[in-house]
Amino acid sequence: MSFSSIVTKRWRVALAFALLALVVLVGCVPLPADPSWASITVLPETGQIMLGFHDRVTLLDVTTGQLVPLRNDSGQTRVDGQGNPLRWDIPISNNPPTVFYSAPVRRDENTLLFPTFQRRIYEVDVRQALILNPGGTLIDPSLPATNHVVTDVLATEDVLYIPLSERNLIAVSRSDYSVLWTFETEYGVWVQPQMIDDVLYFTALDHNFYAVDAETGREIWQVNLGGAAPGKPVFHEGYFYVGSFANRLYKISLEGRVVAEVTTTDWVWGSPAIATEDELLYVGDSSGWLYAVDISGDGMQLLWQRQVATRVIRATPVIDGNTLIVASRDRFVYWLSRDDGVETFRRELRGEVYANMVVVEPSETVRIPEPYLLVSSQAREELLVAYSLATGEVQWRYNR
Amino acid sequence: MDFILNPFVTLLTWLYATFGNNMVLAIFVFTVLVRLAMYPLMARQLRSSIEMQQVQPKLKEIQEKYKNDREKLAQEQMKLYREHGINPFGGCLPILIQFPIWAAILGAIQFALATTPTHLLDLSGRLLIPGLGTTIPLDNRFLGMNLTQPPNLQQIPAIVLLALVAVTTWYQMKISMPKPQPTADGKPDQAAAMSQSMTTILPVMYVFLSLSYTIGLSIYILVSNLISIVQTYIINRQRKALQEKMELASVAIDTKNKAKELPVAVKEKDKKPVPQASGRKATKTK
Repeated sequence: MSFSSIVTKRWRVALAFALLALVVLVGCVPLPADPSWASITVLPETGQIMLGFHDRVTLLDVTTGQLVPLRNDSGQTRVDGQGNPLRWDIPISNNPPTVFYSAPVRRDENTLLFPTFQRRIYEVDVRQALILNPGGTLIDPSLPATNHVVTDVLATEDVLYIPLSERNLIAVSRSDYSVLWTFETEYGVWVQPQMIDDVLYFTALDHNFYAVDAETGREIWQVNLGGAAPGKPVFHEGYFYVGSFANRLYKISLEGRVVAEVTTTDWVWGSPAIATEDELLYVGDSSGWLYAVDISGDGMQLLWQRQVATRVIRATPVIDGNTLIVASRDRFVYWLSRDDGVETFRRELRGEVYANMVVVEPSETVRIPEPYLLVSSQAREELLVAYSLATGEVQWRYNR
Repeated sequence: MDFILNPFVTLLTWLYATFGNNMVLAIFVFTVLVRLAMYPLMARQLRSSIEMQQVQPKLKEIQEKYKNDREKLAQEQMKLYREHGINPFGGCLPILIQFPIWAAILGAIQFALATTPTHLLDLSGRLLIPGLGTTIPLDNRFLGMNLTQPPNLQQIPAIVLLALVAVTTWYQMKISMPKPQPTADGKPDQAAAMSQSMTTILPVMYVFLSLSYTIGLSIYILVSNLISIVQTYIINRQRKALQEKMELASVAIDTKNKAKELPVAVKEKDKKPVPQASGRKATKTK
């Protein structure tokens, strides 16, 4: 073993470690998860479920959780060249890769608009499962490519109000997507705006809650929430209820005045749920705590708080009679008593839950025996699960 | 990984809040702190390299002496290392330890500058100081660049940044590598040549890393290189001083030995009776 061979080995080892470092940096850093969570929309006329996740949009049968077959005008299932049945499942685009955070917006009876993370809008013929504008239409090409759509778009008859992740809320024409006005914030808008009497209300990451004229984009007022606010405010009886990263839940009047606030343990991201009949509000925080707040009158009063989950509760709780259902990033769905938050039972999922849950009620078009609770996890093998709302029994699972 | 990552994310966010909501300044101070914390490791790595260089002549002697007895050669080499307190692979351990720290720094920059909802969700729970969440989101813009994005080669500041990463990496490697010396037979030293080739490989690798990851990481690499250059300069000065000291000591020992050996040489050469006093000394020497 000569000196030169030792040194050579030393540098070989060093080189090997350098390569190992590349592998570590590329593969082992806990890079953030898949940058999307599912958008779940129940189409009222058919009861079918439109599911947008990652790079695909699919249409599911609410009774079975199976992909809806494509049919021709005489009602027969369409087949491809090999005779396989065609299903309603469209990859929107692989080049550039597309990601969804937004629920689709209806354009007309047969056409849905799918806004993507990459700020493109795809027009899809629902009956044919066909993209009408391949490649999509880029909204406001003058903006940097890093300005994304990370929440739902608000659609009125003529205008689409599109919140953008870096700075702006923009209003575009629904017919040709031309920009009508741009409202600039410091750090972007991550919530779907709400329109009340031609005024748009929305929170932003720059810590402010804004009221903006929907016609002109002119600011009417703003109020500082002390921290970023990526959760959609809920409007009830003349007040907005919204949480922020300042570990607070606020009650704000239509005039932009904070009338009450409640302190939480951690960031409040998700939107609250309100039981209108008894004026109670429920909201979760980033440490898995759940809060029940009396919102009657002009103030707010904390009734109880309980740590029900071990990780973030982002999804809005679901209220069902005296039961409260909460889903968390800890991969559990909890059925709790509304009286005190004590757990009745829980169901485990394979993936973390970020997306809001959806309740599907039986109706003439939705032929299911009882209300279903749709929960989407981040695990592709359990992307959507339908539970019995009352018993938590699994009705079906959809995987991709 | 979280046990390294979360303190890093917290520190970076705290620095951002402390230094006027300036992310580049926060990364700069963060890098200085990390490099200071890693200074003992780096110094050890460099010193190990210097020590190996210093025992090179003795190693070559041993190699020549025991070239036909590999077992004895290995024993003598280990003995030499022990005598000089050298761990032959001591330079590799600090490199190994730096990698998880690198990975954590990369993660810290990405998490702290969360740009998508899932990134931001990942940030919640990582901030270990209560109230730090009110600084979120952190401003990720610098000279028209987005710190969370890979360098865009259409932007001049991004090109300048990449060039600086390459140049500082090259220079840092150049000043920290021992100069190549020819072997006894006049051929170039293979090991030294390989060491020199690292000065080419590493800048390319770092530019590749910078292009693959975020501008935030590129800034970290650049600042880190600048600090390394300063540290290497200081260590090289210390090394020079140490070498001079050792050479002086070596000269003193040689002079002493020569003085002791001289009477013996005279005795052997002249074959004359040794004076009593000198003879006693010669006997003692034996």
